[in-house]
Amino acid sequence: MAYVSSDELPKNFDVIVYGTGLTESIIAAALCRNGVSVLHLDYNQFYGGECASLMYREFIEFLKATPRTPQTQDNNVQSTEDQSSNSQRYFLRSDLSRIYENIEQDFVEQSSPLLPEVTPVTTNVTPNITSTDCANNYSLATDTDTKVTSHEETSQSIHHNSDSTEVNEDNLSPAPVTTFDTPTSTQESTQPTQKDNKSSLQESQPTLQDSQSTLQESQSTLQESQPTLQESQPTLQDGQPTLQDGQPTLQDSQSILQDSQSTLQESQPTLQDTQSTLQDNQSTQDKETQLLTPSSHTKISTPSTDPVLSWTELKSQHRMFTFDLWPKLIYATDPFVDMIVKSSVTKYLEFKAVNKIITVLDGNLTLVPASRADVFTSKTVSVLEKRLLMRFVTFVMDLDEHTEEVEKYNARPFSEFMEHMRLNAKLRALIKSSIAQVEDDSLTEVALERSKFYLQSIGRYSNSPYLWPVYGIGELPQAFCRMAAVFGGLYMLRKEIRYLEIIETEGVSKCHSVRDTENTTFLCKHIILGVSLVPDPQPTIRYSRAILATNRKLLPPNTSDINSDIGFITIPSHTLGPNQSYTIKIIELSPKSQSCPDRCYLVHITCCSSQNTAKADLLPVVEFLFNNSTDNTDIPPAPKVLYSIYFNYNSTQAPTGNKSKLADNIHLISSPDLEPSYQQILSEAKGVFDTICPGDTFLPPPPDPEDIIYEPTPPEQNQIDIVESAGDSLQPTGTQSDNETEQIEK
Amino acid sequence: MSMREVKVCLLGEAGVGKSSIAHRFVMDSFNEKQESTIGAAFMSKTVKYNTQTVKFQMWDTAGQEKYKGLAPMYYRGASAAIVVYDITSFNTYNVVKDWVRDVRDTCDTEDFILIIVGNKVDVEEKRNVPRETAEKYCVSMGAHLFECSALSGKNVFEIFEKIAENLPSENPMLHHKRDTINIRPPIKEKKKECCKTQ
Ligand SMILES: Cc1cc2nc3c(=O)[nH]c(=O)nc-3n(C[C@H](O)[C@H](O)[C@H](O)COP(=O)(O)OP(=O)(O)OC[C@H]3O[C@@H](n4cnc5c(N)ncnc54)[C@H](O)[C@@H]3O)c2cc1C
Ligand SMILES: Nc1nc2c(ncn2[C@@H]2O[C@H](COP(=O)(O)OP(=O)(O)OP(=O)(O)O)[C@@H](O)[C@H]2O)c(=O)[nH]1
Ligand SMILES: [Mg+2]
Repeated sequence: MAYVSSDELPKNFDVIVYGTGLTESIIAAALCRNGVSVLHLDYNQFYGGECASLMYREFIEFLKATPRTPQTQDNNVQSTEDQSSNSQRYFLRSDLSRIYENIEQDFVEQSSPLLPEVTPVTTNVTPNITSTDCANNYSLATDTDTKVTSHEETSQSIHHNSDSTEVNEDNLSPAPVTTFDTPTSTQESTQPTQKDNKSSLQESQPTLQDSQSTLQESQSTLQESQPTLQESQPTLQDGQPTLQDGQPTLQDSQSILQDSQSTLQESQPTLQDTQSTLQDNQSTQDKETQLLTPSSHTKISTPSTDPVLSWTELKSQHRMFTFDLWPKLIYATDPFVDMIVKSSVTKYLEFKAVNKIITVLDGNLTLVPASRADVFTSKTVSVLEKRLLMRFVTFVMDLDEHTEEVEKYNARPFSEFMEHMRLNAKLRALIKSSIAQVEDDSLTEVALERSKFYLQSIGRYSNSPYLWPVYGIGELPQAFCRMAAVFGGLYMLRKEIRYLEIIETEGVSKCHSVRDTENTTFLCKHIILGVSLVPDPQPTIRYSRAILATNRKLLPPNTSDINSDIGFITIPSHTLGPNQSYTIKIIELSPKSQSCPDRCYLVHITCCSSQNTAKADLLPVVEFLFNNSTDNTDIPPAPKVLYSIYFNYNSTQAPTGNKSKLADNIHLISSPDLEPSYQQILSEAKGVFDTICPGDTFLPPPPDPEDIIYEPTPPEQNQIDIVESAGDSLQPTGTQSDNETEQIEK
Repeated sequence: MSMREVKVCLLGEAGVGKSSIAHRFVMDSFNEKQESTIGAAFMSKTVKYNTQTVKFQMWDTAGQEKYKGLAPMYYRGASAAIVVYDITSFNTYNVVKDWVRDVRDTCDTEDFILIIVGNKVDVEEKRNVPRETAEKYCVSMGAHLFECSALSGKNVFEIFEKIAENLPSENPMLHHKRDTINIRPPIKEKKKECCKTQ
């Protein structure tokens, strides 16, 4: 029997799909299901592309990724010299830095709530830390020791320099693609020390890094060195009781960072801050050695009396975090849902209802009544308002009967229509932000369409209009890839295409093969790829994103804990001031979503970008909703932010028809957008499928492998009794085996 | 009598006999000409273990490290992983560690059952992986070691017996699953056994 080795790998496919984003994966599944031979590649080592749900470490590495392929070509389309002139090479661009920008990460450490909160120490460091950087931060420690407080914050900025054309593979040399920001004030104050230490540190830098990677692997070494730490602790306890609580926190955050190699180095300043405080009698050199020993990463087992969870406690569970790059709720009645149900892709998926919907009314968080029953029991709205709201609801549900009434408003702002419906300001705000999910100037047509979606979705599967996949959105592309694999799709991750080869015959250009970075050529009749991978400029929508880990649920005032696993919060535009140009959407995931560990919440914040950075757009909302604890016991305590990351996401739009100008068998797929429906994804997927397989059924229901029952053979074992055996041997040769299975089924 | 559904992932280098082990267990037969698994194969078998009925859902995958394209989804909700190597090939034993790391990354729960299996003991004369070597490693990883032969059937059932024996008394996943929304069509629902619908 023959195993397919790298050389024997098939090189000729009907279709190559490059990228495992949701749309691409749906197309791959539909094609494989239809018996088309598909090679599905992704340059990442994970599934999902811009729709991925990533573990913390993957996530950080992904966001930091610098341009992988140097853009050496001035012109991305090149004619090949050695071949006939009708052949061209179309170089792809796998440069993530234009997709994700302005990444800023904060670890917020909190210790005993008894301690006053002091201005946090903030240090900005790059992932590719250089020895000089290290010296800076190191010396910085001696000066900032007094700032080691109950509330410690380490902030990191990752700057992509888009002008950079080189990939720097050597982390030790100054990083050309990143810039290093040190708060100038601190830098100045530490100048003298810095000079003193610089040279010795620079020398020791390689050792430092080496020993760190060893640390990451060897846990036993960590434990051995624990005594060193414990020795230093008594001093701490005697001298500065306050620090005792802060200390483990800092040290722990160190270990979180350990998991992400470069992040590890970034956090050193914090550590050093603490250490210099602890051992002020130690010589500089000693401290440096200390830094190199594993002890500095070991957790001190100080009993925590704090009932409130801190990021510290979470760090050991960081693997249980799943960060969604593209958090988008699914309307229960979205045609996309019908498609996954019909095609049986749902068997790989589990969903949860979004059972808490909140918006801001008159400056306060307010529960949005979702169901009809909710409307009646709601305290948010008065009796009169209930009537008006129900009238609107009924009107929208029977929209088809009101086409005449609506027609003249269709192309006018939704606000005018709402006035026409005699809705008051409160109801208008409620409907606009939560039910219709539109902006102030949105057109009636769009708003009514969305309202209808929302209202029809309520009660489809639950009392909530929205669904969320357990483990995150990244499960969706994986489910389609799995379906594709079951029907013979060949999968390779971490495979990067350098260029497409385009050949012109009789005036018609066709992409006839692709060449990967290992110089393997794969022939294809069609290529499908994300538009963000092609070098030509395309229109983009820019979003601001934040992901927070918090310790509590967001709850409107006067609400007792509601049993909600997933919450959706909309902050209408201008709620937080004139600078907030767009509605901010927040998805709050509880541990039951499987995206975060127990006692913790993962919060996704999204809005269209209007400021320079994501943080500038979103910090006001974070401040508004979190950390602002008051003594007022009527108000549920605001959640605290334990971790946060901000970044901008640029979603690129594909040209209409999804065709490239260069050849009509190059199909370009839009990056996923964060508008409230999956219709664009579905229509692009279906459109491309129809172009490649005209007239064929898009993702028909598959045969159920469980229906094939094999004759059970008598058991050999006494303890194990065979009750029933079943199996599927779905061969990838699409249609034929399908028919067989279907026959068995009948 | 309670019925439990247990997902088991089969992992390991290509050609070590994953599919053969699954076949032996499910059909109690061996196919000399077992083809390299392409795409996904999926088998299930229901057995009685003491007072419980356990339905094993076996997820088989072609195992060539080179095109490693396994998604985390493959491991989702799995109660156990069986990482297979071929006792006649030390190389297949070496990559066991990579699989174990992958498994640990995705399913790091206390209850997770990790089983490492040296297959093809019927060709003892060609053995390249000493049992002691594998044993030491398994102890360090908290994994169970089995040496079996899909060809002769030796020790194959014992692997699954071990899984049944080690199942946690209450599946912690059920707790979460209960709150999920079933969006599958109702026809499908009828066919499912009690445990599936949760
Ligand atoms: C999201 C997803 C979920 C999956 N879930 C399962 C699952 O639950 N159960 C399961 O058994 N499989 C599953 N697969 C199938 C999976 O594609 C392959 O079996 C797996 O990637 C093989 O991994 P490998 O690199 O270790 O094997 P490979 O080395 O890739 O496999 C050996 C040889 O088989 C061929 N091959 C491998 N995979 C495929 C394939 N998909 N199609 C055609 N030829 C192939 C290759 O030519 C390869 O040389 C899933 C795939 C995806 C993408
Ligand atoms: N002698 C012997 N041969 C075996 C045994 N188990 C499997 N084989 C043979 O080993 C080869 C590979 O077996 P498979 O079951 O296809 O292995 P696999 O791990 O599923 O391989 P992939 O699907 O390619 O990953 C086949 O030729 C089998 O006949 C065994 O216990 N003894
Ligand atoms: Mg196999």
